[in-house]
Amino acid sequence: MLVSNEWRLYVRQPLVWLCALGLPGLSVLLVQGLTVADLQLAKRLTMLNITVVMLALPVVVAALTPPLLQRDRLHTMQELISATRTSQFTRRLNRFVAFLSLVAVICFCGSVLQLLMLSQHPLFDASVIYTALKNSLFIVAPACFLYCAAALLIAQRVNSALPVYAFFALLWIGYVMLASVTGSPVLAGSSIIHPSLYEAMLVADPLGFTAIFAQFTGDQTNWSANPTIVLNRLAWLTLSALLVWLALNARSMLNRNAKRVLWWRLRKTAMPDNQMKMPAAITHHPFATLLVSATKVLLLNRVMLFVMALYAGAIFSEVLAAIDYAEPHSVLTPLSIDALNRVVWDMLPFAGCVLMALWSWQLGWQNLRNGAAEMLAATPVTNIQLVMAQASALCLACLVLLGITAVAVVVAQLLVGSQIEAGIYLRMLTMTGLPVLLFGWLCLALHHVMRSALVAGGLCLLLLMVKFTPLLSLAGIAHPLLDIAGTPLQPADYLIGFSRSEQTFWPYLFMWSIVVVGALVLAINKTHRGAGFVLQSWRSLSRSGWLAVGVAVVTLVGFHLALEQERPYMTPDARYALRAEYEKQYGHWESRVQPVVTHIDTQVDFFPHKRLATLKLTLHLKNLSGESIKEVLVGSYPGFKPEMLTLSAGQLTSHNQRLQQSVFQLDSPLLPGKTVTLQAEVVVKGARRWLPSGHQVLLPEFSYLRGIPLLPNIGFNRQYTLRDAVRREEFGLAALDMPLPSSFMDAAPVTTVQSTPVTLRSVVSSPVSHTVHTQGQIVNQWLASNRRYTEFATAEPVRNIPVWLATVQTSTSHRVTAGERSVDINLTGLTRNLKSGSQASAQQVHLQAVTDTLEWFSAQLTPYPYKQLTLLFTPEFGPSGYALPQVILMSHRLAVRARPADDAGFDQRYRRMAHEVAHQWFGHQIGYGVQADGSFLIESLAKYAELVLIEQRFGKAAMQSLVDYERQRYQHALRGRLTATRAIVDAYSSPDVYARATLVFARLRELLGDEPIVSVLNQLFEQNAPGQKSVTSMDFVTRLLAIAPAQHQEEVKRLLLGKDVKPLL
Amino acid sequence: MLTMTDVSKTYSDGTKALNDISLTLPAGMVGLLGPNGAGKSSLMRTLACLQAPDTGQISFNNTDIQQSPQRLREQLGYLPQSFGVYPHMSCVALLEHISALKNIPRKQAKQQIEELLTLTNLTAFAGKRVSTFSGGMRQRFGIAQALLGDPKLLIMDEPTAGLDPQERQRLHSVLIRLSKNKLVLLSTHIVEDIEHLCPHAAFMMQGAIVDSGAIPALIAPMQHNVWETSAQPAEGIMLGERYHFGQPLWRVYHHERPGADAVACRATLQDRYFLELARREVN
Repeated sequence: MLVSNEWRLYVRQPLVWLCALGLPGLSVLLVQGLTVADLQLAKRLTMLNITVVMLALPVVVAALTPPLLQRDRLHTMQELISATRTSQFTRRLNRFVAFLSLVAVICFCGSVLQLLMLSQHPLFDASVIYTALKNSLFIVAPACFLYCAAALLIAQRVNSALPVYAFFALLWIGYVMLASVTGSPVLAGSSIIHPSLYEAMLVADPLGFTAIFAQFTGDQTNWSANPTIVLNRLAWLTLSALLVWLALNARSMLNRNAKRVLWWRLRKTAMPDNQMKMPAAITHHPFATLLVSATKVLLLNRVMLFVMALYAGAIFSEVLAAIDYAEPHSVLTPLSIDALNRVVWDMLPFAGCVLMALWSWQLGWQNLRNGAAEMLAATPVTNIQLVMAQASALCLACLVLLGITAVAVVVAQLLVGSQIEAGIYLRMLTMTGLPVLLFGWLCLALHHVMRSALVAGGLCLLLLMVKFTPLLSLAGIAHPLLDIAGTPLQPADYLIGFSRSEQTFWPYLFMWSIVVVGALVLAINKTHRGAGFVLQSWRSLSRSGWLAVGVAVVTLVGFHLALEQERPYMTPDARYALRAEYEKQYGHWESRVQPVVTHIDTQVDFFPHKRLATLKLTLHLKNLSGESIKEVLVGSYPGFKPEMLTLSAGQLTSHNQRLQQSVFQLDSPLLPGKTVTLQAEVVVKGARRWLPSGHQVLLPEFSYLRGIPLLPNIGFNRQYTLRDAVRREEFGLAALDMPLPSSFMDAAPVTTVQSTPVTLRSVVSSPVSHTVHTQGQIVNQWLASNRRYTEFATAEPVRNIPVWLATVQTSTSHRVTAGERSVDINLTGLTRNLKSGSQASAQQVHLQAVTDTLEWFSAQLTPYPYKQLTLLFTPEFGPSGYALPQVILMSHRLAVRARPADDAGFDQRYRRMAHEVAHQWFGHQIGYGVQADGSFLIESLAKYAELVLIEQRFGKAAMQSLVDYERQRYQHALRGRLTATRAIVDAYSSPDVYARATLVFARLRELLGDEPIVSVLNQLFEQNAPGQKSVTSMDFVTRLLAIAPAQHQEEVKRLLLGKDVKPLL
Repeated sequence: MLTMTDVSKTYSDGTKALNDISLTLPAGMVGLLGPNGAGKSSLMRTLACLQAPDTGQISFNNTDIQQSPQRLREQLGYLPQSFGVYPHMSCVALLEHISALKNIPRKQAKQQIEELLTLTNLTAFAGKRVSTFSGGMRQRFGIAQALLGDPKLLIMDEPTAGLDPQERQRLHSVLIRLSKNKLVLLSTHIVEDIEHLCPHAAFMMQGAIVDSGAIPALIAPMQHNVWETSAQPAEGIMLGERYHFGQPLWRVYHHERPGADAVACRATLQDRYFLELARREVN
């Protein structure tokens, strides 16, 4: 009876309807966004259910608690309701039951909608329905019960809505953070950072997700309710029931207040009135008074003091726990930049923006909440004073937040004896704090413009969700401006500071500043002055109000257009459509004979301070076929349109602007063995609004241009086809002929003729302050017009990935002899690690790794074919190590600043350098001629080289330590995996091609020793003919099986072709 | 002093709170009488520049308050019908806070606060938190804050609600004294208050001003037509029913004596107000 009475009240609450529509709507969006081709449906449904429970349920419960469970107090009806005949216990119990049923109905609606949408999938079967029921029982229902129990308890304990929101925000953030450090697959980029925490979460996860994800190994199609999960669920249900019992029997707030008043009176009788502490005198300027009052509201309230203390503790512990962390087995000598980088990119912006949203809500509605709105709104305070005082208070609060962050980090640094650099603090906190403040001002403007606290608060929550949660990207919506009031500022780098993103930071900050100032001007014009009445209708909005709106809108739209102009923004769907269109229009060129690039002449001019580089390319195209060629298709990648493109002895006959494809008709057919030249000019500009992409970096201190995707592509580019089978079907494309490498045992694949190695000649110019690098030996150097010109040429053909670099870092050259050959090792960027004092050690380690690797390959396989190898230690721009032909890029942070931890079993610097040098063979000599093949021959064989070289240099224990580390990595990667495990030769996921490959080769070495493996590798190098006949993974497998002793045949086969990875673990 | 011309306001739920109100109010005390839901508080809020009317113009001392709301706020004292207070703030601290918002110089504010505390009989409670005040004390605090800054326009919505007779009396004296050169707009259900205090009154019903003017002029047409009788009258317009020693007495408006025991009475503002209400009911 009373429950139905509650429901009658619920259906009249707009917020209930908002939640009832919002959560199911979000559930539907998630289904649309999360489309992974080979994902099993049952797992996918579980993922979807968990995502909703993790990200949306706390928000729904937090939103509904004040209007439904705290309504008596919030609307001063407590006495009236308490005076009714229903007992407090009965009333609370019925309210809880009704509240729980409402939340559960909303959640189940979301789950049912997700199930209905998945039912459209061709693989849908009864097992998915069974999973839905199981998820409802084990995931959704207990989570609803737990959150509702917490809501009931907190609703009994506090007088206003703010602590409820703060409590659920902490709960929400806390759980998401826990999930992100324990490898939840729901959160992109999440990995197991604290294994012990992960083990604890397996049994004690309040929502039980960790134990469920632990069963998501590759082959398991679904999760099962094992004893751990059942016990976990029962334990949390019992705890939830206990919370409910406590809440039902909690003393009424009326009684509690009465007791407090009694205590106060007793205290007062002991203290004469004239001794009572009077509030401090306040200033008598309206603006100052408002500012002081608003600041007190924000900072001197018990809940906020508690939240701030909690925040400071979290910052301190996060910094202290891993201030010197570089990577597993490796530590840094921490500096302020490292300490701050641990917290200012996630904890500070997130906590800051959440607090800003809460604070702006407090400021906007404090008078109404206290019932003093009309009285104060009628005072002669001007709108500008009112809004600006609150904006200034937010600014002060933001400064306090930044101050707390700084103090917490400084204390952590002092405790570990780390060097403190005040300038770094000032710069980093200012640059990361400004966007937080802008977000706060935007929320404040919303609270002044919107007449309803609910609507304004809802909009602020929406901004937070858009900014911080993956909801929109899960729904396939992405845009840089969705990071509301945010900038693309990247973590500061030891070598170049903020140089990588500073150019991008200021335009974003400037744009958001205009938008936010516009919003504040609008707020000044249209504020309800805290009373919630319409003071200024849109129709009668002043000119300055409209101007502010106009400027803000124009700024946003203008910025979007500028983004489009700099680099057309493409949604994933648009990209798929473009690829499909390319294949439809030019697919037939795949069967047409095309010339092949055999030599590239390049003139590259770097202008680092202008973030500009120009390239003049001359590609020599040779007809390697037996037929004559009449037409040539020349294409370029999106965003890298050549300024000029001409073909000698040929005329442009058609050009597709959208797909950037040009067809040239040769004046006379190109006969077999003959050559034509293609000339192209490309200008690469550092974008002002986009971050430098991975392989096109133009910064004052460091510039790096990789030939792909700058070079024109000849013929049909198979790399640019759609791979996803479902999408191919959607776009009406035939299924792609992409056989698994393991199928090459039966049918040898065709080697792409485009993989023919090339010779390179480059003239690279830069300011005299820079040194330049590329493939080949230096053949000439000269100065002209205050620029340094260097000419390089390769003596032998190399894999066709040219690269050009310019850096302010100095180089040292070391000659290393391996076998009968000597190689010049050019080390660039080692000189900046004076503070850590490990420069000499790093140089020694890297030279040792290079020498060992060159020697081993020379002795066991084939010598390094070139005369020089450049090792460049770079600022952080993505990869920790990256090997190009004759050039290796290494992260300065990991390769130079880091050193082995005291308990490290092996040296990560040595391991990584050996790995990257090994790619000069595995990757740049074999493994790149067959499109469908490669990961095994490139990455997995490089892991084999790591094992051999570490054992050779440091002994078996170090090698075993590496194996143990990779085993642990692989175990963690398997937890939460959603796709089926493939044979190692077919695998392409990082955990397989790196960690699992290490385990596979460690076992192969145990079984067979190195000799047969090296013997097979020798055969591969002998048989490999780049551009004509590339060896494949299966060549390795079949040859190894052929020489493996009979008793190990099965195990070797299982290791290389089997899908069962359990024996490796 | 205060002129409203064709002022209308309709809320988003369709409620027509103010319906084409045109009214001119002179200096002095003006009473606004009307039943619950008549739109009195909406009118008060609109006059206090807390909400904008949909149409119409309002001017105070020849200043258009929609164009220059700030000019009005600088001369305004406002007591809403119901209000809350900040927690943890003493009476004097809150008055100081509001005086700062009213831009009253510190010295002057201190003096005014002292005077107003005395005036509202709150001196003894100056250091106590307003949130712990009883209803009457809180109302007195509300009056004190409204009077801060010597406002030229004083808008008071139900100022005597919750006051005991003695405090009510005291407030009456204060208001009479204050209203000499300013406009005090008083909204109340207690007709007696208006009758005691205001030379002018306006009747507001269903969002419209049905009549307004000097109180004697409003009452004058009823003189000699108001009767009191112990038997329920069959004729005339019933103005009210009261009890005397448990016996009912009816008050009737009729141009002739409605019954043998009917006694002619002096018409009051309440009679006029009830007459308007009765007419509305009939319509």
